[in-house]
Amino acid sequence: MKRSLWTFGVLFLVIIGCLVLWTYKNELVSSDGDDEADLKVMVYSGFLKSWAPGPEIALEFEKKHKIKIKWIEVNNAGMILENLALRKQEKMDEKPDVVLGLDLLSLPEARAAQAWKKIRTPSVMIKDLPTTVMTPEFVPFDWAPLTFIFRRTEMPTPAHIDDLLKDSYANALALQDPRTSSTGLYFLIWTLALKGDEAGFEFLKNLKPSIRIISPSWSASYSLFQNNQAPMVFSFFTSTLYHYINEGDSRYQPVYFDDPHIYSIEYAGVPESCENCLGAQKFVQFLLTPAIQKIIMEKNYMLPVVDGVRKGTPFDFPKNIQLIDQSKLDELLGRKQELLERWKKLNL
Amino acid sequence: MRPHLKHGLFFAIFILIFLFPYLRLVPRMAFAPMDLEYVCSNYVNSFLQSLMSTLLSLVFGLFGALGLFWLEGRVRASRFALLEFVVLLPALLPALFLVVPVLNLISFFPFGFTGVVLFHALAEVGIVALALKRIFAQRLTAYADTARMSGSSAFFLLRKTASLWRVDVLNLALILIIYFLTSFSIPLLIGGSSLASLEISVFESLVVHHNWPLAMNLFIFQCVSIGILLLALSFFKTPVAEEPEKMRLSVLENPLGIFPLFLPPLFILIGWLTQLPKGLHHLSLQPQVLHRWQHYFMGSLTLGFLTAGCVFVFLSLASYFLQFKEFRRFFVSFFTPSFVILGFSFFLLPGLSLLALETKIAWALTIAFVPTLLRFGLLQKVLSLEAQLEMASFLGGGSFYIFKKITWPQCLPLVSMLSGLAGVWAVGDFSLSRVIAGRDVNLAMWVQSLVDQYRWDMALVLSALILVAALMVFGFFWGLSYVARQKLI
Repeated sequence: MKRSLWTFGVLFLVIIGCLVLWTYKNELVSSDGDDEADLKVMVYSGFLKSWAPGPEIALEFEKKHKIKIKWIEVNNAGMILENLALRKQEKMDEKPDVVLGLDLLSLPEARAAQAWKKIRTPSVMIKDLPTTVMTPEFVPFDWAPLTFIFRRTEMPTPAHIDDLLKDSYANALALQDPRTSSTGLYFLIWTLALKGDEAGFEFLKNLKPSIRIISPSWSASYSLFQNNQAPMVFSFFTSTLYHYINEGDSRYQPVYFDDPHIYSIEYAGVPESCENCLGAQKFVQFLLTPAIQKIIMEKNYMLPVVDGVRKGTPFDFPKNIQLIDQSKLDELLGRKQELLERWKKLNL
Repeated sequence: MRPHLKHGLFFAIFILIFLFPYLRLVPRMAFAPMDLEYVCSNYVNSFLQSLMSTLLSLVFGLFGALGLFWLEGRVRASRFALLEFVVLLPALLPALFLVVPVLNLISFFPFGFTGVVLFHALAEVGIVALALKRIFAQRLTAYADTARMSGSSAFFLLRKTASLWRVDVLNLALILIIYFLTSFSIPLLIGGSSLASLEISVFESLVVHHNWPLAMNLFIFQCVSIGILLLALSFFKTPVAEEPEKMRLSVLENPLGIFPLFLPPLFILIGWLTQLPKGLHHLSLQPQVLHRWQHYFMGSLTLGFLTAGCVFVFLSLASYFLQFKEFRRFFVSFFTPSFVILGFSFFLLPGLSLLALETKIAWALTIAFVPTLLRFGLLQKVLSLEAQLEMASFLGGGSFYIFKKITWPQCLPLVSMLSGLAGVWAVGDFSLSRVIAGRDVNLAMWVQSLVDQYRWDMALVLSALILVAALMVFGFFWGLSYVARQKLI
């Protein structure tokens, strides 16, 4: 018994030892540059995948400015502010010089949570975006309107959001819960911005027969949509391009509503606590160069914010789309908690 | 045996080490107004759902246990271990991997309350069947011959011996209720927002409103409500368990039991096979997706072995402390009320190097899994040794000597098996690990990232790697359990 146990014990230690050594070795290899990193950039994890734009941007930036980037990964965009707050409270040494991935929903809280440096922005922004989205502290680096995506031939195309109440859309929609998903919160804010509080909540109540699934995340609802479990899903206009470009599937179509669309914008910001502030400014400017905008567009499936980048590409499609007035969004976002409380009581 | 002051101190240190991260939450506690009406109605709804899910899981699990008895009598031990692993698949993969094929294959699948209950039962039937099989083997093996010779049916035997296994099953039911109460995605996906658990409100308070006091209040509300359930359970007297002998419980064998048991893995397999050609095709078009897959594979193995190792240490120490009646109360009432809060309490722990990170995750997973594993027979196992322990103590044996010579050798097969199970869960975990790590360190997180970015079919194909890693971890600890059992005999 004793000998067998020793054998297993030693074997376990050998396995753990090998795994730890392997991990340590790989970590050393990948973090060689990190020790000499000149710029720390905080971003959500999805931006850094092998198929995402992060790794290529870091290479290009290093090539051009001779500045190495150390990524500070955060679980998802929603956790960026929580992470920043934690670093401040715990007085952690590793503070980011740049933060990527803040969105319209989190800007008010980001402003309230800490001080941000003003960023010099070039005057090359795309005309599609309302000028109000520009702020002195945060620079948009990609964006996309949101809408319903459906497979052509499966559904009639709605023209107004009210059309979704019709019987032909019964049990058709895959939505996201606004308490756990940012796209879910965008949908709630959108309907209220279009209709006002009372009519908006009345609309949502009446929408219940059309809802097939409310999922905790965008990915869950989109996966169910991909698997034909719901004919329509609330998502990004640009989602259709993933299928077109990677799968050659042109059945996926966005709905062009006559109503103004809500939109998601990803921002970059430089915290006041930055150590390499000059490098941070350079990095933000770099994000807005056409070459990098193209990388972001093609790998993040979002629209560029700089003119001319999407011309002649499949991304050159949502033209003359009506966008919702941002002042309405700001007002609604200021009452986020109250609106979510009301939403919960709808029991959708 | 009565604990010495030294043991008390040792016990306090042991508990403090394991539960230290929770202490980080204390400064964040403050009063925050709660919408009590909403919280209560939400809680009642999710409690009813949990209760019904538990009942149906137990019914399915009971049939599954009969199927396992039938299988055990017909296949070799190593093949049986593989089948045990197969029935655990639904608990190993992301919930969506079961949801999608089920919805694809059963077009009339009911949504809402019934759907959530049915889904929970389908997802947990394997683990419940394994737990019930263990309980029945421990409690009823002594009656196997009598029952067989008198021609009793399985249900007659179970009915007549209910007083022997009732408390064990209640314990299992309690763990299931707690698990379903904190279940995050299934109630929302299948049931809609009216069935969302309090766990979602905790998540919302932290991530959307950054309101720690409110999250802590909801957490305390959940703790108190679960504590009341545990208190209610403590009024039931637990009969001392019999030692399972190496004897077939042929009365409890039923081949029909394999249907509920293997139905969920079959759904997953069908879902996997139908996506395989498309997934492989898309993988060939986007080979960059496979970049660093070895890194994630090794990460899964590291997390699996580390967690299993931590659980092994915890359960071994627990079996030492369970020798003392005074410490048993802690283990009986030990539970993990909120995975979101657990994740965030570790997120607040400093220590950012990769190794520390993986250790942190393994530590968190240990806290998450141990309450369930303790109720998978370890508490009963130590109780069943009571007579031997008293005799050894009467003869002058010291507590450590008794542990070394009596308790541990007899608990080792079970402790190893449970550690292997924890390793399997750790390999498949992506939610708790992600909150703590913030980035992908294992296969499950990588696969979830693919789902998060349109690549559903590729994710499904690559999920096979999770199974390979889980099988390696499970195989090691199953081997240890097997050897320990053979040596014991």
